[in-house]
Amino acid sequence: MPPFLRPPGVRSEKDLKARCVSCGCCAAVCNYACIEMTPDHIFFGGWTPKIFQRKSPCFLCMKCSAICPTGALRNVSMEESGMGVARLDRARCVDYRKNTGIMCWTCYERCPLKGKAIVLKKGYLPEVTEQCVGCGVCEFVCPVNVITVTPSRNLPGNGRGGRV
Amino acid sequence: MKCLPLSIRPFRRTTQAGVALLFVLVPVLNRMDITALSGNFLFFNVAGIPLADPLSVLQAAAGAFSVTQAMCVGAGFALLLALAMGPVFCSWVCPYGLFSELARALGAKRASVAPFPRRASFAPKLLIVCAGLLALFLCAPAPLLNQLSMPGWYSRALQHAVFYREALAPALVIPALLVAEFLSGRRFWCLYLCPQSVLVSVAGAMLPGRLRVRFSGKSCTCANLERSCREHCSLGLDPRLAGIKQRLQCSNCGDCVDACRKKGRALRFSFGKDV
Repeated sequence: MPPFLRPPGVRSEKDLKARCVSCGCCAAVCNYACIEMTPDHIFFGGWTPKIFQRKSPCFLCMKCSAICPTGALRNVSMEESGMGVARLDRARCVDYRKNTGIMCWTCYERCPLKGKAIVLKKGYLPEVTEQCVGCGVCEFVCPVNVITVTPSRNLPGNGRGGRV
Repeated sequence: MKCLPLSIRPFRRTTQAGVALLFVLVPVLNRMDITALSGNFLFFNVAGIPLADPLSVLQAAAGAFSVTQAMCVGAGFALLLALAMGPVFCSWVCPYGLFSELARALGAKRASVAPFPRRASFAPKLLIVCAGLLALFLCAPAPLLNQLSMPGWYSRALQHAVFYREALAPALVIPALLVAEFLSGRRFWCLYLCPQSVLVSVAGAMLPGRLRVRFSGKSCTCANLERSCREHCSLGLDPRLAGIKQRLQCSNCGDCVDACRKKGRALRFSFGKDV
């Protein structure tokens, strides 16, 4: 299965799987059709919501977490989405390389939490901050594929605001 | 001259077909950004009012040790309906019930199945629910019994087809079951296996005075061996009997009332105690 994120407001992986009844309300209200209901396990898994950020990332419209009837997704603000954390590989980022003559800033410009989750260090170098919620937009738009989002379930403490 | 009471079946078929069609339309409307209706047969949202399959709610609550307001309201509505009117979901709403009835009717004609189907049995369903809940506590990562919801697969397959333009392979279990029911002329899924009907059936059996078919011996004009009402019951029940077994298994479809309406009209829907 390609890398995927859980929708905003996600609880721990175990809690999500226990609470989700596969109703698909989150996928139905998603403005960008980025939530897919797919099985977690071929035989025993429920059909839970996933966001394949390289196909279609989350733009944090927050409709899914507001409608989830079983509380598998918490109704939270954009800043508390807790989907994961983005990592930027500075060694490969064109903004950090010298003498390229390029000011890309695509990740900064497209970030739904522009100026909070991604800021411009020294006014021109994009940097992911502690406020990143891991929506996956930067990974999706990066023209040189140097951003990777680590889902909250793979972070210490299984997400819930945990940071590397 | 007495005029015949209206037949129930056309109303029931219209309701069943309307619900089946609604779940075709819901994902289409969702993709048109009309989201007042969303969800499927496991949990449905009607302009903010939740409606839920009580078994899916029970599993989510047992798995997470917590409930939300929407879960209580959604499951509560379904259980209250069953408490007052019996498991009418099975006979008036469930799209699988509609397809199963049609498959059985066609199959019974083709295979010349004995006129009295086998008696419905509640025990296997109860066993499946208990096993599913036990597995949930012991090892299962997710609500397993939701995978046995045929209306759930029906609506999820439609969601999948509209949202992702893909066929949902596990939903092929529905045509497979229907073919089996057509060939056997028996509604064995609804009779013996469907776990989703257990909680509503139990709720429906709680109140003896809830809406159900009641038999008046004085009006019955059938001879002993003539049992038109029982022949018409797709679940193989004898509508002339009362008791807990009837209350658990009868889904108030009204086919027996229809069969009796041209005879003595000994079977009628009513609230209250048995005659």
